[in-house]
Amino acid sequence: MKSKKSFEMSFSWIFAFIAGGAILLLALYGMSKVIQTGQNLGQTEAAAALTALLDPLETGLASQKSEEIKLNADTAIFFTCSYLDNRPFGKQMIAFSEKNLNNKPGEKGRDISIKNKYIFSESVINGKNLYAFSVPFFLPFKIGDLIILSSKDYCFYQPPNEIKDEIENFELGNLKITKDLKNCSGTMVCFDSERDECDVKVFSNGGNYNNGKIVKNLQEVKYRDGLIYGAIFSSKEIYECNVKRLMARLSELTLIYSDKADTLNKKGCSSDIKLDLNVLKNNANSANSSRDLIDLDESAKKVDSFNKGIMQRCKLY
Amino acid sequence: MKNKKYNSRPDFVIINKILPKSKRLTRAFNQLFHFKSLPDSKRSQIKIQEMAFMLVAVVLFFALVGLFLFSIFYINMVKEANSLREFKTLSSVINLANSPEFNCVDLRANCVDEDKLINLVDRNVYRNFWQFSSLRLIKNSAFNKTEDKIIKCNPGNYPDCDEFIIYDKKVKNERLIQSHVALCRTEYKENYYEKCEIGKLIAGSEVISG
Repeated sequence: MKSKKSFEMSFSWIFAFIAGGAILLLALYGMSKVIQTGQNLGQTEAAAALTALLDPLETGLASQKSEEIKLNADTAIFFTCSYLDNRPFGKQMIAFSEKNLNNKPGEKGRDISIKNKYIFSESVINGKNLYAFSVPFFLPFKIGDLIILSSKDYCFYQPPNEIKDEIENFELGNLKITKDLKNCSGTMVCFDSERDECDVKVFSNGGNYNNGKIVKNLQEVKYRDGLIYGAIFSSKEIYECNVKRLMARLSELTLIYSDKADTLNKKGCSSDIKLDLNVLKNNANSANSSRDLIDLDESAKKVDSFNKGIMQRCKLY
Repeated sequence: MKNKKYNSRPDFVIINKILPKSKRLTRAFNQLFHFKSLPDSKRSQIKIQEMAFMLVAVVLFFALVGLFLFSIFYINMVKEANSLREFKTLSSVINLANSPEFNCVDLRANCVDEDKLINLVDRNVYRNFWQFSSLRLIKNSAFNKTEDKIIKCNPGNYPDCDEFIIYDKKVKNERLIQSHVALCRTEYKENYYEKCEIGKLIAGSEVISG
């Protein structure tokens, strides 16, 4: 006998609920996967597009170039560097992750590898606006362009005139020069100063900022010429890795110049520069960190003075 | 279980009217296909079977719709990847002449040093340095020549040649992007001088087939 209050459900209804629920769950799972893949694809595309956007920063004749890159949304960009992969040149990897509504990084896109650029930055950059500038790096001939990428504000406290002029020429919104530390926000960069407020301390070699050392987060790195900016704006891991990559390219370039010397020799331009190029190559190959940049100075100077002494049409670079 | 009254199906009645007496549908045949006359357990089984078939059909339908959408998505993705590759190749090739491996003495813009270039031919370490699938430079002398008449440069025949092949990954499908450059080398005739001519830097970008 049926109770009036009881609830009876036929088998077909129970079956429909279970099967319908299963189909619905499957559809939801599928949709979430499609959205995830779409996001991943979007981030990967953005990372690939960024590498193409950095191409115009190759300096060529210009001594420096800068550009501001505006992204569609607040984004976290992840950088890694390896000098052991893609021998001998090494490579850098870049991945994008747009921030979601909770302001947390969303699905990370796939890594895009960069093999012919040297990007100096923190390991993770957050923001909607990216600021990029490039400076050429010579040792003694041009080895490559150093691309410096940042998103936060930097405050340069009493920089020397040559650095002040360069920073002003970059015309980037996140680089400020100040005479008063209280008037500035962001990462404080000080020159030959031990003040506690300074986040980055740049030390010259007896007033000469062509080479010296930089102390950041209690870690010390050495710099030379344009690498001063690389050391200020990037994490120690990325800086040291890129220095190693630059040394590998220097080593390959010495071989090309050495072969060019042979080619010119056949045309009657005789010189003994090959010996010095070989020393430079060996020093570049044995450089393990930025500390060894100073050792390269001597051999680079020898090559340069030799090249300067050669008649114009027989010069290597 | 309560026995249900047998009722002949109207379609069977019509069929029986048409058919000759000997071939008319029997009561047993009629009962077999008469749904209402089946016991409850059988009816439930048939309902479950119907529902299962329906479910399979629904799942198949959505799978086909999904497959169709995925194919559109995939084709778009391939197109996007190819155009991004081309864009990257184009932006790189424009600046390639200014890179240290190619640039002329005194860093003149868009000028390739031929004396340096000849030493880049078949230098395999550079295959994975640039992202191009192939990279070559042809001299002015090769502009009007057919492929079989172009002389490939090597240290033996340099500078009396037409084409410098830096590397070629020999991919099946590639799009070539070119940029004109000045090609300069040192020559000697009574005095040292620089001889420059026009050249074409040609970079290949692999095309992914969708």
